[in-house]
Amino acid sequence: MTILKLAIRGIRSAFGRLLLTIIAIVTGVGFVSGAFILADSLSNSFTTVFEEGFADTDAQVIQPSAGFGDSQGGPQGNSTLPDSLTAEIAALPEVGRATPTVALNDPDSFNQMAVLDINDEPVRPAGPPILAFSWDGETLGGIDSFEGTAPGSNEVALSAEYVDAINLANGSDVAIGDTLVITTPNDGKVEYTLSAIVTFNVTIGEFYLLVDIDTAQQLFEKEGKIDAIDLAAAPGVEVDDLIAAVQQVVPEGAEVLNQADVLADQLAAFDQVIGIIRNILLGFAGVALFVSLFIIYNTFAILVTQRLRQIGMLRAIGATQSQIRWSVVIEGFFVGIIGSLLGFLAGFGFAFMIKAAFQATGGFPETGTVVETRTIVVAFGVGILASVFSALLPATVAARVTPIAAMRNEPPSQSSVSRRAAIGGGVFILGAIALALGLTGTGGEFDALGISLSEVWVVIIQLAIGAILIFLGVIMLSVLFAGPFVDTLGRSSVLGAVMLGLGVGLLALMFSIGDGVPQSVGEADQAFFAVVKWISFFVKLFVATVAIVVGLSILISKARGGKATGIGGSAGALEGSLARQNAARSPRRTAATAGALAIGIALIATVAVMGESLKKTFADSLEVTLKADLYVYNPETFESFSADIAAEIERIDGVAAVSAGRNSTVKLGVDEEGEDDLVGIYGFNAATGTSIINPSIVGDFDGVLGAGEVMLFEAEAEDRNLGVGDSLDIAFDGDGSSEAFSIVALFSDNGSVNGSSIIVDRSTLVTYGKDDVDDTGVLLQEDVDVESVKAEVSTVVREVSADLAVEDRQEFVDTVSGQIDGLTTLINYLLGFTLLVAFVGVINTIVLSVVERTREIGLLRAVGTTRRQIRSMIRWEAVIVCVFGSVLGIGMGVLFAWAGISAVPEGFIKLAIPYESILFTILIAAFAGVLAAVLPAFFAGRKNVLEAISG
Amino acid sequence: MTETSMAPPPGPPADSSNAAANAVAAQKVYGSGDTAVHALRGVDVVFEKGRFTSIMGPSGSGKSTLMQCMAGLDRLTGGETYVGGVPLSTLDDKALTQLRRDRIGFIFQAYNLIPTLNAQENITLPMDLAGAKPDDAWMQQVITAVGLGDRMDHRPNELSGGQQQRVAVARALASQPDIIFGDEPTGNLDSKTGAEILEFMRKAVDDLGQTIVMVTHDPVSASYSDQVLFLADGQIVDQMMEPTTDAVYDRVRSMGD
Ligand SMILES: Nc1ncnc2c1ncn2[C@@H]1O[C@H](COP(=O)(O)OP(=O)(O)OP(=O)(O)O)[C@@H](O)[C@H]1O
Ligand SMILES: [Mg+2]
Repeated sequence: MTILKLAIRGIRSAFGRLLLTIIAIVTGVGFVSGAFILADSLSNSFTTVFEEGFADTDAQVIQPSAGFGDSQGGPQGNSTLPDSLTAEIAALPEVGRATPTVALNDPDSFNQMAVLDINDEPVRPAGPPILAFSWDGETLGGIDSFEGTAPGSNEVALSAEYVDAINLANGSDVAIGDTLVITTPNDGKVEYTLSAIVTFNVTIGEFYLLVDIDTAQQLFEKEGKIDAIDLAAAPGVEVDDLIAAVQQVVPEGAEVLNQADVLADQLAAFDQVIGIIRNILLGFAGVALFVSLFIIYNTFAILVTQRLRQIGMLRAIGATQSQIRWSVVIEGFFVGIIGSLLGFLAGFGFAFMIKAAFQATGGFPETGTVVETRTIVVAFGVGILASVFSALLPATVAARVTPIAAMRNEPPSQSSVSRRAAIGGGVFILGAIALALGLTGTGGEFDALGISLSEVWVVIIQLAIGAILIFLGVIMLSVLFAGPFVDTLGRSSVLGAVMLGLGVGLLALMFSIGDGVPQSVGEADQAFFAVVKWISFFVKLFVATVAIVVGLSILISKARGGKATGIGGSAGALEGSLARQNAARSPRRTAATAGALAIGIALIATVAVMGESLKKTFADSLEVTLKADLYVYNPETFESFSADIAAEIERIDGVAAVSAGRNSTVKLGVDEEGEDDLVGIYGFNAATGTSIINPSIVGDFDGVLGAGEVMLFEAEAEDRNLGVGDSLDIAFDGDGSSEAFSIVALFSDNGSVNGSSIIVDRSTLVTYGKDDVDDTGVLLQEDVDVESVKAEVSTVVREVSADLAVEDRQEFVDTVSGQIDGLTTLINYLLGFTLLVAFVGVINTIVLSVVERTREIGLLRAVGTTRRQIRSMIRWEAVIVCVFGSVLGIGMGVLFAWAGISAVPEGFIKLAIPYESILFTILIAAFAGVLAAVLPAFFAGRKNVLEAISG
Repeated sequence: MTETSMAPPPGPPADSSNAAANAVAAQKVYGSGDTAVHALRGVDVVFEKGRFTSIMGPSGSGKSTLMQCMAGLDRLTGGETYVGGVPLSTLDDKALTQLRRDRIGFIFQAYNLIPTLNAQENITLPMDLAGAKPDDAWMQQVITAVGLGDRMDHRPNELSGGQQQRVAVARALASQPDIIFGDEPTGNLDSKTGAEILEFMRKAVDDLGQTIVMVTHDPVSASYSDQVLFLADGQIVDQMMEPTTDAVYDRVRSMGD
């Protein structure tokens, strides 16, 4: 147990040095445990809510849907049941109560109904959904009490929380008996009287809008149909007997579920959403842990170097190699335990706070924070494994220390640079092969070891493995070029020129191809984004200016023969050249430090390049394909709306043509695995369609589709070996029937039709009940005033729905680009954590390398180097290494983004590189270097000369 | 004046049966080709049990190399060294480590102690590494001899240089090894403290029958030993029994540097 004692004492003595390492683990484990605790707690809360809701229901009748695509049916894509079934079931002696329900509960359209405030804006607070249901005044699970009377025709009941939200929006209180204007999915705006305010036992923040069943059937276009029948057994009847009896009368395919199944069914959708949130957090945890592997490895590698004499001593007096190896591994183990414990607490706190925030905002049930055993096991397992794993290699190096190292201070024999580079090359090639497999899609499906993965997942996994291997390979290979790179970059003339160039380049890009000075703030709800834009504009301006000033200072200092002049001029003096030598002298350390940063930057660059490519592709495609002058759609949800709008717009003066488009999914048969072969379909006004939306028709077809005619996407046609003149069987419903269509033309740009593979005349979709539209393109007559027509169109549109936007072409492009920007920004914020971990890693390595060089720094001080000079030496070293790391990271990020984009079938997305962001990132990395050096530089400057030399 | 014998350079030892350690034709070459350094050029030596031997010689003559190879810290490039009759070249790293742990003690010039362990823990470290229980009576004797009193639970950085070296000697004695090697164990100490350590080592030989081999540059230190070997250019060139400070001093001066 001596080894254990040595390990623990080792940790205690090096605790300060290990602290930053521990932070690295804390972040990763924090994400892991936070993800699980939050997901489990949310899941627990939802379960409680639904249990309340179905407390009085013993069983439920539903009709599971055999369909696909956009669900028009009941919960979770169920189909509807005939209205008459209720009476039939209620007549059974076993049945105590049979309540039919109708809901606007297509999961995609929770928010379609909303009450308008006095400004005619829908009251739709961000976050929780508005659920619309039928209610008979008695039986809706979870209702605690209500004021007023159950809603009748032209009446509505609202949940108390929703009334509060409306009052807040109006600035005055609504009362029972008031008339409310409500926007509906199919009937435009309606005026209903508020008949009741309902209090629910527990909610998860959602709002309720309740109407009677006739109104619900009419509003949700389910005349004569119901979604489900809730059942309670007659007194003394067993639930099983109730179910058996009801099963006799339900139509074929309908199911009678017991309470537990109903709950499971209802929870499935929520669990899926929670699962997605959890997996996203786990993804970030994975990235953070991957970064921390580097940091832990670096720390232990340096600790081993520092303890050389001690290890040699132990070996001399009889410690075996395996005892030495174990002592390092055990240290890793303890670091893992401490890090995991703190990380677990951090994760718990994180989940607890998010839950508390939910509770504060929306009556979230107080169900407590759930910590499953699994969470603890995984959190600690992952933290300890990561730590032990990263300590393994340094442990092996430590074991190789010879006993005479105690007498001679020779460094442990590490694998030589060339061997390391050779391994790196091998790993890189393996990564490239994995990437190539992913890109060519040769992996097919995977079905072995009890795991079966679809082709898409195989490709994603191949790409991910490829990316990780390439990353590791590049970091190992970077030992080869880290030296020359930093040696060149560190030359004051080069560094000065690079800084100056980056600064000028960034400015030039900002004002030429970039957004330039942000435009004035538009609508109120965009103010936030405008502020963000302004801030980022000024930050960039500042960074560019500082870079130019520093670059000039360095060049001037150099020109004045190494006399430090101006801000950052020290890089042109002695300090700069010492820094350069330090960075170049130990390529291994430089590569390791840069590697920690490179991974964070690689991820951010990947996201940025992909986002830019999407934006560019989209804008280019619109340039060619979208001929409409005005575009009407729902920018929030892309939900469909009534086709009547298109007809009304057509009547406006100045409008030349209108095309209403509708997306859907259809089935082209069954593939080899028996899975439905589903493709996207787009219906538009064939007569005018191609003059408004141009899908790049191959050959000379006029675009006018008749009944029974389709156009097929070129690549899809190739895949399926189809061509013009062939026939295509299309099933629109899940009932198994299909209709034969003839292919009259091929088209080559499916970006214009939302990626659909088939184009039909919209009337075909209407035949199959899809009579609403997703978007409407408006072509104006020449020489009309676009603004005035747009105003008229807006009036017409607002009449029907408060949610639709009328945008001209530029606005439309901006909106969609903005959404892509929003997404990349969100991802980058989360990745920012990774960057933070990487940043801690950089500080860590610099601190350790300063400790390692204590003696040398002492000598420099002894021969007359000032503290200030020591500090700037360390600062410039950090800057050089960080710039190296960011260049590595960006290079890999572009590569990974290219791979990701290329993996998307049909070469749909074109690569575009965000040069502005790239220059900005490199400069930010340089600043990060300055920041990272603050602490180490302080330590180094503070070192007493004598202490440093004798130490 | 003690009688000093100036024997001719010894040939192969006639009798190695009483040897705690011995070397036969030991050769050590560092590097190869043009840069090769012949640190030992065929050394034959016997360290008899219960004897205190000093090794002297000019800087770079191979003293440390000889000691390290004989102590199983490094390997020869030719010839053989034995500890208690066991040829070291036949042992793999693990066996060699165990041999060092169980049968050899070390005292280095500095960095002898593990900074995170206290004096007591440092002394018992070799036995702890072996998972062996120290002999209590013997430990008591050693600890008393170290004379640290109540400072046994102090960390090395809380002890003076002399105290640290005494702990190092105690550690070397604690496991009752066949032989103790010291490479300039008093090289870092002032003469008074050095003398204390040497007295301590002398007593270990006289009272406890310990075998000690010590490299030193100092004729005064050498005079504490029973025998001095002189090394020059990787070969044993002379030896002196029952050395006195003056005799050693004269001999060293005559060797030049
Ligand atoms: N690891 C090594 N690599 C190459 N040459 C070495 C190495 N160790 C020692 N030498 C050389 O071997 C020769 C003997 O060295 P050694 O350390 O044994 O001398 P020494 O007698 O102990 O000297 P000093 O009195 O200065 O400690 C010297 O020439 C030395 O330069
Ligand atoms: Mg020596």
